[in-house]
Amino acid sequence: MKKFLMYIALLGIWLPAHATAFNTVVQAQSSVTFVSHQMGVAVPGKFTHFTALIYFDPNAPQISTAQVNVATASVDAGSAEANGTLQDKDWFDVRDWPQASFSTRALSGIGNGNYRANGILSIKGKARPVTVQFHATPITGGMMLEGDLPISRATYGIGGGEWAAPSVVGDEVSIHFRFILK
Amino acid sequence: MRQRYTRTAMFLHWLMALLIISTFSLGLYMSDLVLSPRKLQLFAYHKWIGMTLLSLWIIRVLWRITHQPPALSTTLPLWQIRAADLTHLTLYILLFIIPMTGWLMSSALGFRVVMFGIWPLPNLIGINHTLGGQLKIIHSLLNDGLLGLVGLHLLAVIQHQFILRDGLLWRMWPWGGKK
Repeated sequence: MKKFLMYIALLGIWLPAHATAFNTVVQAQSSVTFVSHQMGVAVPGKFTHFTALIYFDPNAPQISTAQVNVATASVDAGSAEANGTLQDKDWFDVRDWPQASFSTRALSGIGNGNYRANGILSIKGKARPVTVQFHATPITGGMMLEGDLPISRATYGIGGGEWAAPSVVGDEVSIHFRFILK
Repeated sequence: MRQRYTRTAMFLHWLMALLIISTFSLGLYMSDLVLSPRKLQLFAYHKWIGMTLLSLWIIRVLWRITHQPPALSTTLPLWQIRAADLTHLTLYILLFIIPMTGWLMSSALGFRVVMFGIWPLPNLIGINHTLGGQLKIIHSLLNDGLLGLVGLHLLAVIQHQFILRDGLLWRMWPWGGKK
């Protein structure tokens, strides 16, 4: 009986913490997009195929985790010609590196619904530590996580060879993500 | 009645001629290139020159409206005067709608025009790849028309200069003058 009551008590501590957690990503409403600059022109793009495993508790960011895998071949930079080129070795080299990923187990709240995640971004086999800031907005029955991650394409070897010069395609590419969690 | 176009009209005519030849050749050359940094650069230059031409067009039309051009020789047959007027009018129309279709096409295809890489022009329409493809065809057809009309324009110059020998070219030729 004593043991049972203890379980109930533990459950009491455990439940409220977990009542606010979200762990199901609504794929159809989520997106991974980016903006690159070509000759000073901001060109939008997106990845149409990705999977995201996210456990997010706005009240307990320290136990939250995320693992996002992006199919590099699903890159859509706005034209068939660009999409073809982006599959090549100089760009995403999709045959050798079909997946890019981001994972984090180190989240912290920084106030006003903003969070910071220290994680590893891995593209073309180059894994680098990154810090992502995002905002969590409560929506009906769920949570929307939205944020930006500016990266240097040179760091990951995206666009080498003749494309390396940042004067035509800018070095900084801003990744934007939106995950709808239930 | 003045014999020649104003200096300003001459300047605008020859500057635009130079820019049209450049951007027309560029457009013809770059469309068939495989994607490369060079291609992106050439597309940007093509658009910058096109938008410069559109701005010059506005100035030129305003100048043309406010400054009467020199009269044509009264000995010319009426149909030739009519043909010249019609050719000039059509050239003016094309020099407006060709850059406009280029701008529209850039907007529709999602590659905004950013003048000199720093000054973004507004997108005229939203992204629509089907429409963008159609505008591309129209842009190219209108340029074929422009090429034909410029050819006619030059044939008329040759006729006046070497067959009629009436010195018509000196109306627009800024170097030297009527001999």
